[in-house]
Amino acid sequence: MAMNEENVILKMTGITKRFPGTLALDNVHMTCEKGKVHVLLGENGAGKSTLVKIISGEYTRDAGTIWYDGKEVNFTDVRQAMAAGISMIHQELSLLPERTIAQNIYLGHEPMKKGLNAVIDYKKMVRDSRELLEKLGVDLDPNIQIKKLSIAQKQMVEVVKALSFDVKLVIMDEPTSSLASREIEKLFEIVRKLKKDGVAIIYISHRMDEIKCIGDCVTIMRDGQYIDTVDAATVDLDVLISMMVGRKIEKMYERNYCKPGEVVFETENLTGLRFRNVNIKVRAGEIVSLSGLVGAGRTEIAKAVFGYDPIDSGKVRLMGKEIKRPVPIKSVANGMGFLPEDRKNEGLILPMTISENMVSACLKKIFRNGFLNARKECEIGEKYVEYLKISTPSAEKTVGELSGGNQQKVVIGKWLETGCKFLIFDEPTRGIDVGAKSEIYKLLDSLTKEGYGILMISSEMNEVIGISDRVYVMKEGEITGELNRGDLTQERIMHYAIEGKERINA
Amino acid sequence: MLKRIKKLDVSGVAVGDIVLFLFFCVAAENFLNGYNFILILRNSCTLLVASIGMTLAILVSQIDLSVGSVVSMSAVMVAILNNAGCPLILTILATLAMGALVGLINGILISKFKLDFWVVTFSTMSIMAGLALVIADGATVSTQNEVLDFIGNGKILGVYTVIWITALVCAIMILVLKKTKFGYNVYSIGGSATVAGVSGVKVVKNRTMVYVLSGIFSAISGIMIAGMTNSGSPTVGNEYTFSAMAAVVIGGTSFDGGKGGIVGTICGTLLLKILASGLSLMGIPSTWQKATIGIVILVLIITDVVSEKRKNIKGLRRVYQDVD
Amino acid sequence: MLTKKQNLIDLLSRVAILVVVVAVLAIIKTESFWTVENIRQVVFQQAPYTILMAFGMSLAIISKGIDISMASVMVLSSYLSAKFFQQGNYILGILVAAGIGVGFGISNGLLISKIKIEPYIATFSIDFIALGLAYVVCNGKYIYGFPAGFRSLTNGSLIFGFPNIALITMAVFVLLYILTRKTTYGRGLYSIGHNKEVARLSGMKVDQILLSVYVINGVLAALTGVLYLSRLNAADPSIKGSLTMDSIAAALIGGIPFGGGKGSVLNTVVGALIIIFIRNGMNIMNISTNWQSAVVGFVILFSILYEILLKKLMIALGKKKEYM
Repeated sequence: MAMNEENVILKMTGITKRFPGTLALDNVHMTCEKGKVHVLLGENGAGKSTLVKIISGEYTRDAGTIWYDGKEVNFTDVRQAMAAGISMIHQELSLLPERTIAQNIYLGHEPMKKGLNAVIDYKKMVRDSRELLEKLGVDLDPNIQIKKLSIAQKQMVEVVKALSFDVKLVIMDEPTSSLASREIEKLFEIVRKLKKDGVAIIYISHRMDEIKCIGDCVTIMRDGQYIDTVDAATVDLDVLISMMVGRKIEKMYERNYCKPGEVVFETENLTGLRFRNVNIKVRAGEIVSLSGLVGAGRTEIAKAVFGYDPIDSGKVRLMGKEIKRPVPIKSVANGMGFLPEDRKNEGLILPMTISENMVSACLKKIFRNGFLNARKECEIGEKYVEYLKISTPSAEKTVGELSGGNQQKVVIGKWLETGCKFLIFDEPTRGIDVGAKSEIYKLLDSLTKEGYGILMISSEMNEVIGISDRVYVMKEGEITGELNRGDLTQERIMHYAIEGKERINA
Repeated sequence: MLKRIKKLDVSGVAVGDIVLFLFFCVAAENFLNGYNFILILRNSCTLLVASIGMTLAILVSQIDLSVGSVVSMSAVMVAILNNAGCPLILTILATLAMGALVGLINGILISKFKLDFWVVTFSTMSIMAGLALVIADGATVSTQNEVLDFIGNGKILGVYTVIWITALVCAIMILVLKKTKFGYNVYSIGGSATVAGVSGVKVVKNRTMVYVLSGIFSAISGIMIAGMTNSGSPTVGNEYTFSAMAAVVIGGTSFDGGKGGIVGTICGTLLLKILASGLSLMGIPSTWQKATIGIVILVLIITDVVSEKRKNIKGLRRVYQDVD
Repeated sequence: MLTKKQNLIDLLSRVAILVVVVAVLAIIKTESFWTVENIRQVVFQQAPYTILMAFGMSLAIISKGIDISMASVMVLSSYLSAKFFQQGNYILGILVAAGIGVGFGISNGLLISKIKIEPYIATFSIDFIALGLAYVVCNGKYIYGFPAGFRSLTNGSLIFGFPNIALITMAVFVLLYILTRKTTYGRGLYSIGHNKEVARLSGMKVDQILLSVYVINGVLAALTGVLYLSRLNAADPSIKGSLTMDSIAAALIGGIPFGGGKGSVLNTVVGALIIIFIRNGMNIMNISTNWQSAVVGFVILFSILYEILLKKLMIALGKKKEYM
């Protein structure tokens, strides 16, 4: 693509970043212009977040050069990047719940009283925050504590925070993932305004419709590698998708629909911390997805059902048997398995070996007399290494050394060994490279053939549409729609997720 | 007024202070008189100053177990240096420097080298406790110095000097936490070190500073003790770590970090001291007091942790109530 | 495979430290240290108490906790059971001692697992209470003079050359080793130490296992208390001494880091012997006991730094293997 050299604010070449066990970025390059929105596109784990964190100084690169504002730069921490006018809107919210909106907006660069260098001018801070909030069209009182806001409101505060100092380059990491349509429109207005002021924007998103709406050019990444940069106005969306995924989508998602059996899992008017009156049914042989915006309460349902968080009212039934006040011990004993999004902290014990992890959910069942048997343990480990095609020299390797895809397979193996019949997958492919993803999908497909019922929570629209038999869509803690395989489109899902059900009837 | 107290988040302890005070007024003879009241205040000073350092450490969601040993070490150091003929001003400066140095070591090992704060402060605790015994040769060192005695037992405008010093320290630290960049950073880091870090707060520097200040405050506490007792005992600070921790937690500064402050710690310290004074005036034998205070502290800590848990769950729930 | 090898290297390096300590002492104080009598005395008569206490501390640390209260529980249980042993009422004595150990263990365990108070703070509070109660019970009185049968618990030797106390310690070691390394219970314990959340989500009985750890610690404390009674022929409140610090130091230097989930009771034995030999060496060299606390503090500090060094070394070793 033709670039106007004068307008270039950021130019990166040969960026490489290694994490233990993975090559997160491999020789990536990218160029941003003033007053343009540069969309960074790629699946989860493609390396987008790593790349922008290198720009913002959170990570240091292993190789490559960065030119910023006419100079070669080498930011080693966030403050240097901020001082140079680079600002970042984080995907996971970076706000302090106990502090007020004003204190959060000016966190790290609080205005000082004149003449007193260490004393903070809180009044000025509130005044400036109010001005800034008004200017950006966000209707909030700067004196409110963050913990009292809804997720969408927090997201808007995050945006305001990122624009609270002189910025030349703003990085937005999936800023709309928890916003409803009204707020998205507001955000886009802000983006257009920034463009007019000559600010460069790097915009990370999965949502194809957004690219056309506000993007100027698109850089596609896959598996930590640079694929291509194209013009947003002229590019065909299908081409983008195939570049992003790296192959035809039909192959990626394999789903051999099979006739569902009896109901394995059911909730009745379930109400908990962040959801209300939820009725869900999963049959044997079915893959059912929970979809919706980030913060709609999907993960909370899964966690409450498994016994992670308390339930206020309603019923949970497993294989037709009611489980009163679920706790993990009971859920596991009754044949439920939970595969958390955060595998490294909630799914696996990283310093332990593959075999040790495999047996960890059913120690009592395998070692009936209470004594460990190293040979038996090893056999089980090897059985699953072979069955799930885990690439490792032996089952005695610690899981911390495995790649994301193989780690997920270990978690799957761990639950298969318990002999459970119902599995909850929370973001099953987050942080897993494309090759391993399709393997996980095939695995899910073959599990349903063996009679497993699967409840999947996913933020990746392609994934939801690709392998689900049925989809429940949530908005603000309630289920607003149910779609069958035949009716699944991205538009319909987003409609329920953003508008809720009222509008549909109208 | 009521709203203000609520805002400070110390209403519980403040009310607890008053209730306990009234209780002992009725239950213990001689409790309600001006002399006893002043005595309680005066007895609170050394613990309160040491607790301020602990408050800072807990505000950044860590802890400083070395508080007690630094108190002992300072008291001993003052006595020994004074006996060696060192001018008092130098003695005090050297003691403060010692406290700052211990804090600096803690701070660097914890924030720069990312070592576990329990182990690091535990080891500096045992090292300082041991060194205090070594330099005092295992026994209390008595000392004489008019100015030192004035610091400990003298009065300015009819009020004990230690109370002035403590009030000054408290006032300064309340202002520092509320108004300055450093104070803001302490709360931000306590709220979430990661968030503070990505927002451009110098986490390592500020955490180190917290430990340095904690060391200095412990040293001030030790100096006051040396003045009050005209001696330095190598074991005088033994129970300060636990008492300070208790005072802070009772005062509503939670181990989660980023919540609470000095006002709460003042109330917490007073509560402990009112309790001690009341128990002894009620004629409860001194042997029983340690156990009784321990049980009361434990109960208060349990209430704190439980109510904190409730609050957190309530916070999660709130999201959709507001949407309604 | 690599992990097992790494664990072995780790353990061997600790044994090397032990050998170095012993060798240095043997060279500088050959005539008084390097004698069969002294070594026998140290290993069979002095070490068992520290080893038994350090076992408990290790279990707590492996589960990512800590138990500050053991030494005080030991004092209290030995005091309360002393009368019964004196009267020859062994069964009642054992019941009382064990009851106190279990009781305080349950309190610790519930505070930590159910109420979710930081282990350090929970056990610190319980320590305060247990010691306070010990003062109440003791009330300045000593209990001394026990029947010969009771004293033979430590004096006698059922198997020639091995005093009974050494046999008891060995039995406890074997029991704990099997329990922690060979059973599903032990696997649960290590899983909790590595990652409590994963253990919970895998359907392990996390709360019960944590509770049991502190109950075991209480029982170990009671056992140590009874053995001390038998050895000293008196109930003495000073036996608490520095056992808490010694057992923490023993666990850490033995290779059971605060991070949890690592090391085994075998490491504890090595660590406890290191500490005991250092103490013995200091006695022989006539170093004032005042120094001992500081030295143990330095050992703790050394062991955390050593931990980091070892980790770096392991990573370097691991890399080399991959490329070969």
